[in-house]
Amino acid sequence: MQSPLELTTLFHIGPVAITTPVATTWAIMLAFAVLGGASTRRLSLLPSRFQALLEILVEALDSQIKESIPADPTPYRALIGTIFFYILAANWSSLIPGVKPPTAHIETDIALAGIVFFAAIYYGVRAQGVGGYLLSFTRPTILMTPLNIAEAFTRTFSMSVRLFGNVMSGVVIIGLVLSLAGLFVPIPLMALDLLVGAIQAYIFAVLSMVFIAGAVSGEKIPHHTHHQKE
Amino acid sequence: MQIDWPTLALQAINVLVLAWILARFFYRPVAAVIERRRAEARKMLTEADAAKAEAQKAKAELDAARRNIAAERDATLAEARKEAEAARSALLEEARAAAEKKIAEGESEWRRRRADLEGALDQKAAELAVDIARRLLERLPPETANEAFVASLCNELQALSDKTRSLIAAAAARGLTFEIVSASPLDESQERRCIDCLAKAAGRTVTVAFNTDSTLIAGLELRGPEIVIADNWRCDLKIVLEKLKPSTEVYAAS
Repeated sequence: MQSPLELTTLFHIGPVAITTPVATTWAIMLAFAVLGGASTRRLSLLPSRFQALLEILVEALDSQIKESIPADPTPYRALIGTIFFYILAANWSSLIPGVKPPTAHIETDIALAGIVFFAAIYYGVRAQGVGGYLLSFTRPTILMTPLNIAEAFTRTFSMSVRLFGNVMSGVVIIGLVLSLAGLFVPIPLMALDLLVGAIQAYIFAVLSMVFIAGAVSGEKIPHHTHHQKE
Repeated sequence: MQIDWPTLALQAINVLVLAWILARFFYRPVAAVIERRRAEARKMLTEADAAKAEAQKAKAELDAARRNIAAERDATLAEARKEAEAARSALLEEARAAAEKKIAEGESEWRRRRADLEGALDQKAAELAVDIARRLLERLPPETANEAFVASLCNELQALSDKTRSLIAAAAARGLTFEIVSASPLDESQERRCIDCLAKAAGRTVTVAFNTDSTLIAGLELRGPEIVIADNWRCDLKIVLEKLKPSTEVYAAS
């Protein structure tokens, strides 16, 4: 059995090796682009049921963002929404036979957590200025500055590892059970994996909002929120 | 465990590109249509508020107009009532005047007819009286009645005042003729006594002509230039009728 940590190179574009998570992500991107473009082609003031569903999704997303970041959700909608929908789609891509979720590879999770890390810095600086953002690391006391700086990195690390660990473990367990038992035995585990995938997508998006909110408001994230786990 | 940095970089780029794609093709259009609907809703609410305000204003104007109409209606009704009252009064006055005029005309007509009737009755009564008198006289001999009336005339002449006597004397002096009219012809002695009584009253001889007039019923009538002595029943009946008239008027008035 191939190691779950091992990347499979599909082909090369010049010197760049295109691995399976990249190809799967491209497929997800293509699917989102096609679905998004097709579904929003004929939007009207009197919505169809499908348009109403799309609007409910966007409204729910905005509502979630507003609960964490007390400001206009527009600047954050694309990033938070994309993180949620991408991780959800990536986690659920395991339903397609032969497809391994991109989030089961640490590179994808680090990339996502890294994007949140830099987004928090960007939004923090934009909201408070460079000085204000840097000063936020000295709160509640200047003695906490090293810890706050370390926390910025560790939480990024913890986000990526949490997502990687949950998704990868699900893939491994299903693979192990499938190799040991019959065809239909892993189905309950796959259902559980879907639930875990949705929860992980939600947790990652919520943590992203919380970190960005902390950077925007200049206050440190409460401890219980910071260490949410399934 | 090794991290494949090109894959990591590609995935980061992929997520950012996906964020752009979704923002471009999904979030923005959907958010835009939501915002457009909200704007439309706000606009409709604003328009509805404006329409409501307009409607309330129109309602207020309508209420005011209705109140004005009610006031105008009351004023018109009052005016019409007043005019009707005036017309009714005028009609009543006119009717009353016409009725009074009719009553007056009726009364006048009634009085005239009554007068005519009374005249006719008087005439009838006179004729009846004359007839009665005539019938009564027919029972008496004419010379007997004349005798009494001659005596009565002589008494009348003797009772005349001096002034009247002087007037008779003056007429006799001028040679004027006196006329003695009787209901039936007098005999010679009666004529003689009449002439004597008249001469006695005048104090001198007089010229007398004797005539008869049956309408006197009975009696004599002396007709001179200055004097008339009526001693006959026609004259007496006339006097009686004249005396009866006041009591008849009183009866008519009641």
